[in-house]
Amino acid sequence: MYKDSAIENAVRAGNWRNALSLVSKKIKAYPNSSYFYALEAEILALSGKRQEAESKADHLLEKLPSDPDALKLLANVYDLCEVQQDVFDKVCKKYPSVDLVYEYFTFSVARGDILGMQKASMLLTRAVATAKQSVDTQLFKFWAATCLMLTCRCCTLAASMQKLYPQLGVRLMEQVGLQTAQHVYVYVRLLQLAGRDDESVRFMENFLAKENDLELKIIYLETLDKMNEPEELFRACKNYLVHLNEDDWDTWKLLIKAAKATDKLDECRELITSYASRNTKLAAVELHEPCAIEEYFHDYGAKLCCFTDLKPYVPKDIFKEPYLKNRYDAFVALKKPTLDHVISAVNIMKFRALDSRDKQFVADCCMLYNKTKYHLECLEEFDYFPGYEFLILAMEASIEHSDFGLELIYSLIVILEEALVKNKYEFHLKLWLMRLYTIANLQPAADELYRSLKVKFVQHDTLSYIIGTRRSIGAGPLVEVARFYTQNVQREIPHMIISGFQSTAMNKLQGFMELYNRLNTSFGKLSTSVELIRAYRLKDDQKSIEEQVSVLRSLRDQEISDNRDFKTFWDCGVHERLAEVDSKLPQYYNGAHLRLLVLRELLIYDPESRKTNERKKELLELYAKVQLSEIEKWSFSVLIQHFENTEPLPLPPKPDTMLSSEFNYYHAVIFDTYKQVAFLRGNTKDLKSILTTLRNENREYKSMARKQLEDVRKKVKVCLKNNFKELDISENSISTAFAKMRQHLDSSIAYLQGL
Amino acid sequence: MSSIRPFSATDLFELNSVNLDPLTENFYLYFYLQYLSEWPSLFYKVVSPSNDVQGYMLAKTEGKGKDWHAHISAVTVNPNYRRIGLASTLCSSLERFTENEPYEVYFIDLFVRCNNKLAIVLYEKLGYSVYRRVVGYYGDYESKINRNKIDDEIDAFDMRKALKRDINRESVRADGRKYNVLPNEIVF
Repeated sequence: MYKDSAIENAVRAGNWRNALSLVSKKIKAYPNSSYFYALEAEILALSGKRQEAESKADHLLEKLPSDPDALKLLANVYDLCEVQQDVFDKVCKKYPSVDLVYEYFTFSVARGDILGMQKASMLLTRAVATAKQSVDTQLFKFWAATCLMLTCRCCTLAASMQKLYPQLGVRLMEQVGLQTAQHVYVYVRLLQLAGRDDESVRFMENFLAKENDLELKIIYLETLDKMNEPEELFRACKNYLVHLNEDDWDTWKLLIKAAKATDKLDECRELITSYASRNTKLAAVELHEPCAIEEYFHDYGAKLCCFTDLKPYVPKDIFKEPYLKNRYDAFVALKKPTLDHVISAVNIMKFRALDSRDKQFVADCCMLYNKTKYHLECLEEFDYFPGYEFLILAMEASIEHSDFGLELIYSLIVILEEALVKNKYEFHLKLWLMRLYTIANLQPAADELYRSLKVKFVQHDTLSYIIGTRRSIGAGPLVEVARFYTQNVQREIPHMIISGFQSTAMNKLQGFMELYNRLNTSFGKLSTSVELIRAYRLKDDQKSIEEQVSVLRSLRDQEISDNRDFKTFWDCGVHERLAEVDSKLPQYYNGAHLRLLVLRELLIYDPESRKTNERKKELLELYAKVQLSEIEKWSFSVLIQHFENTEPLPLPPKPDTMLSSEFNYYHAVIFDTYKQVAFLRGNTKDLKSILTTLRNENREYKSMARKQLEDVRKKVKVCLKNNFKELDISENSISTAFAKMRQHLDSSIAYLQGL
Repeated sequence: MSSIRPFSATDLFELNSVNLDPLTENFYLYFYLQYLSEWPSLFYKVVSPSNDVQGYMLAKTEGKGKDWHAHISAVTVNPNYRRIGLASTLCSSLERFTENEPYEVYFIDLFVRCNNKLAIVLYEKLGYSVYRRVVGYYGDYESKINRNKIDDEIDAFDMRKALKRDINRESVRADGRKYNVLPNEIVF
């Protein structure tokens, strides 16, 4: 990180005094090195002396230092001091050498700053034009044109710039030439940004005649559609579908659209019937051809895609159609249905679920599962048994028609546990089970499943919310999640963005930048930090807290990007989020809730910020607005008492059962609130007496939890018998599941006892 | 309904329904981004009308002279969209994209575990044939491998399909299963 390891060690240890003394020795030894002056400013900023740091940085910047490392330090100083200052831009205008401007470009990439990249790339075109070394000037013009395109497509610009930049980009591309698909891509995008769609179509047409580039083909067809050129669109689609033999749904859809506008529906129908594919079968459905849905079901009813393909087209009561009902009745009469039969039945039950998910539906799903589960015995390694969907459908319907009490939650856990024994790679079952575990105070079991899914890298960003929301049992897998952002995102993406420029993969760079910025401002990243701060605070690990606070500070004023994947969880059953089911499940944080939690941490650990008053105001507004649990409300009221001297709310009563995660969360929040106030050196007298009471009570928790679990086990037996009789869950399965649950519950309770 | 679309880096957020499959590897970010930046037109996906990813192809080009070819690094399909020919669609699209300009390769190849019979049959239907067995390809590289000690669990078949540029079909052979090589002998 730093050029001097002794200083780096002192900074890492937070030993600011020592670091400053070492750096002042370096300044004496190298009085002309801007680097050590910048380093001194950075150490001051890190130590909290932000005013002094800013003034030192201003003083140094006035001298326009040209050492890129010093400039990077200065940029960080301004960030820490929350001051907007484009240090590279200022210096590069004075000293536009190729090397320095190139540093400006890579620095902007590392910050995900597209405007900075645009400025640097334009400066680069000028720098290389006058450079003594041999540089590919055309390449840098191509970079500059690409950055102009990215700026127009990704940033909010003044109207004058939005008009000027595409024109400038077009001129640059005309100097560069249009040899490859990448050149044509950038040129076409810029032409379209300049409002010259018709010219862009001509260029694409010419290029596509010699090279079949997928990206350009899509832009070409979309532009013809946008320009309302149905004759041309029909001709182009037909060329791709018939002559180039590209059986592509989007192209079929555009063909149908163009045919309708040009009175060529008969020709279109002819094309569709002359082609035998899944897409053309669906094109017939799209055209509302008679019996098209039935024909599709006939051909694809034994494929898992059947339901999702037909869902947009079928009425809710499609199950009443004789061809479905008859198939269903025939299936029920079968003694040993094949896998194709199973898939057909899964599709039929999904259609039925669109209309009605009553008690009989649950019973039928259970009966079908039981009837077909013999296939589990002959599964190949890594294969799935499609009949698992009967369980998902039954489970969703049961939740919908119940109050979602403990006996149902624990019954569903038993059912899913048993299903997973032989269908162990089915990830929808695992996602559901993880969700149930986190509700049932069995977080260690959820962590175990999360690890069994081998979730890694970008999957942490989209899936970690399942095990990382209102966590009250230590950091667990969240440590690996946090490492993804600091290690993989920061180290891999900027490097690959530069590589993308070097290999001129210009049509991919917008995606690279969006990926990088969405990960840097990610909901998962921030919520992981917030959860980790609580876990570390409960363990008095101040150093780890500071690392996470720096993550929260780095968000600056940017919007949070919610990359969480809720879709995969609901991508089974009827393949959509069922509001009637979802409303029964505890909700995850929304954006406002997360923002409130982030503000709390910044107010506690970043009091020197010049935004403190703003943050307090926003926190109070969000506190009044966000739907919080009773214990969260109480916790915030205690914190607000510290800041505003208001009266805190009375402590809400303890949850009745230890078999719900609310129990652990209640305790974690109280202990955490005490630690927050203690850190702020506030009055902890009342909080201490609450902690003493809780600690006295918690000695009995383990035996009480076991007793509660035993009581629920009895209720689960009854629930399984009354509501899921057809599944025929054995006594042995119940015992095995409860034995595992007892271990996990013990771990959850042991965590509380350690607080 | 399925459409072929270019892969974008932000599609990495949308891959769970494909990549939670135990046989599909989740790579480092740089791996995906390297393919996107080096071979931008050879990384593409099949999507539904609502842009749900049904499968994807990750391929590259390599080699010199008559060894100039496309290599399938990964081809994978969402479990809900299997057995409807999407893997074939992805593979035949790769042929279209690479047999003409700008790539004009001689052949396409891929590695498949020798015991993955289903996949081998699929590739044979698509016109691929075994060119050689790579002994110990999926095994522990550290251990000493004997080229004559074959093991379907850890060996790979290098399967190839000749494209129109290979007029004399020099890149393929009928008795490929008889040829054994070691992983370090595959250099392009």
